[in-house]
Amino acid sequence: MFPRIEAKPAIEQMRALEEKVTAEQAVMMGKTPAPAAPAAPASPKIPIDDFSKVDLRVGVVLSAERVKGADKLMHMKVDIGEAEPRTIVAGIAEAYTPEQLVNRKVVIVANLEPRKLRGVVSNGMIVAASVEGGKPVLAGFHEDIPVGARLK
Amino acid sequence: MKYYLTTPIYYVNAAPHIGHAYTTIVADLLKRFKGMQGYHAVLTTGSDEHGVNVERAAERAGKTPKEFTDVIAAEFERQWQMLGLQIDYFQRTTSPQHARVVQDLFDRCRKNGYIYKGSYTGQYCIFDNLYVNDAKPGDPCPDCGRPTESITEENFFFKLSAFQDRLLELYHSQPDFIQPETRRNEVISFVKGGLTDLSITRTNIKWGIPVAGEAPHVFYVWFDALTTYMSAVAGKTVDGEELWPADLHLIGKEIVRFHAVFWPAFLMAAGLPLPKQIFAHGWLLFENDKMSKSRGNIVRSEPIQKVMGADALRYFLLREVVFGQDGSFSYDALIGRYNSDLANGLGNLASRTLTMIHQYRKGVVPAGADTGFKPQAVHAMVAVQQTFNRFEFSKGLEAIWALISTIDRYIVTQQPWKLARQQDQESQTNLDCVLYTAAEALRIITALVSPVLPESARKIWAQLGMKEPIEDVRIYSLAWGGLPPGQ
Repeated sequence: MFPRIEAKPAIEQMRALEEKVTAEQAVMMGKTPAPAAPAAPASPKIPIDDFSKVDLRVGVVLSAERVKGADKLMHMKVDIGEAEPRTIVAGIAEAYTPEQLVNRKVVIVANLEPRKLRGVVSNGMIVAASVEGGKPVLAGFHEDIPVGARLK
Repeated sequence: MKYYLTTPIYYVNAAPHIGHAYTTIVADLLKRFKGMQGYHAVLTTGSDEHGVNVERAAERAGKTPKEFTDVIAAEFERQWQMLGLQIDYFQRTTSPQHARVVQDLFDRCRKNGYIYKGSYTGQYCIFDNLYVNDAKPGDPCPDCGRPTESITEENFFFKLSAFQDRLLELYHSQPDFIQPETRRNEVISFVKGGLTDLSITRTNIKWGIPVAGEAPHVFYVWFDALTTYMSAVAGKTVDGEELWPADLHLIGKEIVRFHAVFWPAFLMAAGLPLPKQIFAHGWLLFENDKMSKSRGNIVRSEPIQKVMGADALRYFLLREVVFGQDGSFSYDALIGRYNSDLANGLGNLASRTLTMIHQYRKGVVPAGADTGFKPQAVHAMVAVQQTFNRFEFSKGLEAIWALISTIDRYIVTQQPWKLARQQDQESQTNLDCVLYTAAEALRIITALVSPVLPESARKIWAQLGMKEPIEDVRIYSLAWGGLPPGQ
């Protein structure tokens, strides 16, 4: 209950937060544009063949539920144009609700080696963008595209 | 019995800062305190979202006014949630239900002959939303210094001039209608100086509530914003009692005239019940300077809440500032108050008492009381009731803290740590007495501070083993000796 507070570090902390909040509010009020994400360090160049090895497909989320005991994980069934929908577990549960995901078109890495997450075998990966410390944002399409189409 | 109180509805042209938090925290404190007095207290706050400034700000932000106000209103709500404030109604002036109540107020006033159409030319400050009286073209606004604009338009006018006598009679017959006294005197001399009719619609604003059947007129801020207090609770009752009229409008001193002159006049014209009381508090200055965007010294509540907790901010604002007068905020003073009064004062008494009961009596409150402290505890209870009823929060807190230091001194004099080492019956009985007294005083102190420090009080209360939720404690049933031994 009420531990003593050292003035100097506490004031520094509050002033730093104050600057952060002021900047966020300025963006919210439209006074300054939203800051650009810091550029991610460039990766080494690869030949096109390396990229072609990655099988990227358009999929649609059929069902989604949170994985019990794991705040970040979402357990999904995704139709990527195959006979059976894929089971995919992805760390997007803090950014999306199951309702936001169902019926949404997404991009799936279809030829990734299956991986076990919290006892569920995830057969594929969902593609999302994120900045350091930010929430993932799913890749998607502005125009309509059939399920199963390949990205290249 | 109901007690309905309101904060101003905040203009969404500025993001929430400590000034907004100040009024809303005091309103939350009053709601909790009235609840403790047995009232069913209801609190409304909200957002004022119309007008040309919002239209322009939204445009700058690349949003429609609706999109823009949705974001800012949500930000205000988020701030109040983060501070743990018990808001019953968050009323937005853009809600359709609000528009209906505004129209109804207008219709009633018009039917009673207090509204007419006229043409108006004046120097107008778009920033403060007001015509500047006796100004020449190009003159600056006396409030903000920005240049005024010449505007001529056809408006609906409200016959404010017809209400001079009735308003003066109101202030006379209900001396506490406007508090504190300095504000009351200002209002009385303003009204005595004569009232001019008020333009209540605009034709050059699109972002507003349309006047039914009178396009392109939209309601100007007066009829729109003030009516929020009523529209938020329109048709709502508690325990079979209508919430309107408000028992208290809590406001800042810069908007006294609107609340104490315009608003009761509108309600008189409409034949509707008037609010019972208006209390205008002072400004919160930053290190004795006015906080302003241009000085870049606006303080937000969020960093303080994150680093020191909401209770620390509440305590500072209520203890350090004499409510009604201007007060000064500084980080140094905030931390100084926290360390001396919360860490050393209440925190120390609580942890010392609870630790001793734990160590010497296995966590069970022993029987036995030093009734010598009853008068002082009763004095603190009475003082809190009286001072809080008069909005003198810092005085009430002083009375509680006087009791804290008395009990602290008592513990030091009695030296329970020495008694604990002596096995004879007398020492052990004395130790029981000291422990019970300290715990019982702590219980009463905790209940008394609970409207001010709700989060911390709830924790101490639970550690004392009290079964009754602290929210259910009523101040009149709080009596010395109420702590049951053996828990």
